[in-house]
Amino acid sequence: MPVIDPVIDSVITWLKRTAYIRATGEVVPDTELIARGILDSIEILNLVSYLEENFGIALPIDEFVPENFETPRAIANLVVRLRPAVAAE
Amino acid sequence: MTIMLAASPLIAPLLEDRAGAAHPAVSAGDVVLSYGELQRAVTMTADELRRSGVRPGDRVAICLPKSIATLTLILGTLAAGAAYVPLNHRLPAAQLRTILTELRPRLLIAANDLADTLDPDALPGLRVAVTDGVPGARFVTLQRLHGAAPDVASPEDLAAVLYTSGTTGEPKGIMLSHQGMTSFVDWAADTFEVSAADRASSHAPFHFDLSVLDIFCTLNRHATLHLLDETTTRFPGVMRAAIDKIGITMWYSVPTALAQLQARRALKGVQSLRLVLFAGEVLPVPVLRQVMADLPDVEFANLYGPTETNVCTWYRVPGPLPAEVGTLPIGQPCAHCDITLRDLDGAPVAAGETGEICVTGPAVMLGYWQKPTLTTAVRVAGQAGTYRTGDLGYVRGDGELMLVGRRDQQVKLRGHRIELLALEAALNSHPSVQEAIAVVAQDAAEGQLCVFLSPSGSATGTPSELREFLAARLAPYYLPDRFEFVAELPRTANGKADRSALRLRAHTATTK
Repeated sequence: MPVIDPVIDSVITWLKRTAYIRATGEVVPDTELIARGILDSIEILNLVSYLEENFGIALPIDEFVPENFETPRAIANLVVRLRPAVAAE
Repeated sequence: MTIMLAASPLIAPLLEDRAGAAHPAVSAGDVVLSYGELQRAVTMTADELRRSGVRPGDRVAICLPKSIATLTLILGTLAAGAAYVPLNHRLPAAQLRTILTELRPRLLIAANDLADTLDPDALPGLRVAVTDGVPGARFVTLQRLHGAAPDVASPEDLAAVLYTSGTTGEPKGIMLSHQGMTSFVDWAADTFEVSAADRASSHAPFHFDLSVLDIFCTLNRHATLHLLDETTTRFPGVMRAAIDKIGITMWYSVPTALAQLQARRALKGVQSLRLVLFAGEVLPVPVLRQVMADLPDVEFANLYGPTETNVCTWYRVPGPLPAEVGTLPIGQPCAHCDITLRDLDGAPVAAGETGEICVTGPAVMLGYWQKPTLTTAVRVAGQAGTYRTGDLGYVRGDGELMLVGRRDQQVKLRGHRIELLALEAALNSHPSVQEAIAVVAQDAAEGQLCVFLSPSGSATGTPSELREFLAARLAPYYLPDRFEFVAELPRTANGKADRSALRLRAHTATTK
């Protein structure tokens, strides 16, 4: 399984649980989170806290930009990119 | 170039020719308007409004996202001698209809889709103008005018009506006069020495009272106003880049905006800032201490005041902030305001005692639009030019005014006024809810709106159902951060829901 898939899953699970899913409530890996207004400023901060805690990453300020939050897939890409190279077996 | 005579003292200085026509007045993204261009845009917009039937003394409702075009509509409305009424374009259609029905503006200016949603034909007497809404447009052309223009007189000297939600969630239109707004704007511009060298960031939407300082202080002193878009304010990385790129010197926002940036250490190393003003809610001192440590050469001031008076007291924060400071004072009355502390009967309290903060002065609102009873109720002994804030305060030994809390259940969160009772009333009308209690849990950075619900029978609404239910009834900022279902709400000795117990519980849940 590609390393990114479980990250996408957990992002989607988080979004379903806490974000204001305003439109249909359906979230898929390529749902546009910014364009559709699903992530507002408070939700983005909550999400970043979750990602930092859950994946042990620290989001540098210059990565805190919309491009990295456009879809669950983009968020997962960001996490994978920032995650320390764990357990390189 | 011919400069028209200003119909309002509020915009007279910005229309004067002393700035130098090429000096930048306002920017949004890559679009920049010079003072010469802004003056022309305002003149043309005022002409366009007059052609659309707007006369001095009218009200013009402007229900559009923040943009340069929206700003020129506000200024053009004032130039045409009318009062501007900025409305949140994200309010539910039902609430906008309520406001428009009571406001009876000469003209409503809205974007196409909103105008359709509102169904103006269902609002008899409402004249609607639709703008093309081109981003970055410098002035607007009004299309598709229809409807009959009502004739309802405004109070003399009306410059603006700012809407906030009232005790039952019912909107209240706060009427502000030219004289009052000018007295506040002049005070702020003098006190903070705003000059043509300043570049100010505009964070607040135009329907917020913070925008009065943003727009008029900046433009009347020929400084440059930078309208920030939502992407910028939402992403600390983009915000920081914008601060540096624009070279922001003056910052004015609700504390939340500062706290969010501080949480990412996004202010460290900013060189351009000289002044940071915050208002609208309490900024936790630990956060402020960090912000001040990251911006050691910047002047900080805590501004206090409800929309009914705009800023009426202020406190220049000494830097570095002494370690023993736990709560920030709201400081001293502004030069154009008198402050008294009164008991429930309206009598001044003794020195050092806690009383309701009451404001007297030219900047106090003219009243609530079409609500004379409520207007009288919030005045000191019914007197015009006075306002009882509903906030409690006391004067500390060193003469600084301290804010204690609210007399009722109104809270401010992320810059929005939230009537907890209105939120509870809305939830109580949902079939699955027996009783709802809303509380604000404070953590270090900001409050969280939490709702505790006891279910009615076996049916339990899911949080998303309840959100949807609320979204159709209340403004978006009323949507709780958390819902918690409890079998039984804790009670006080006299049987009322125990709000302090719930606050504590919400707080523990937030910080654990």
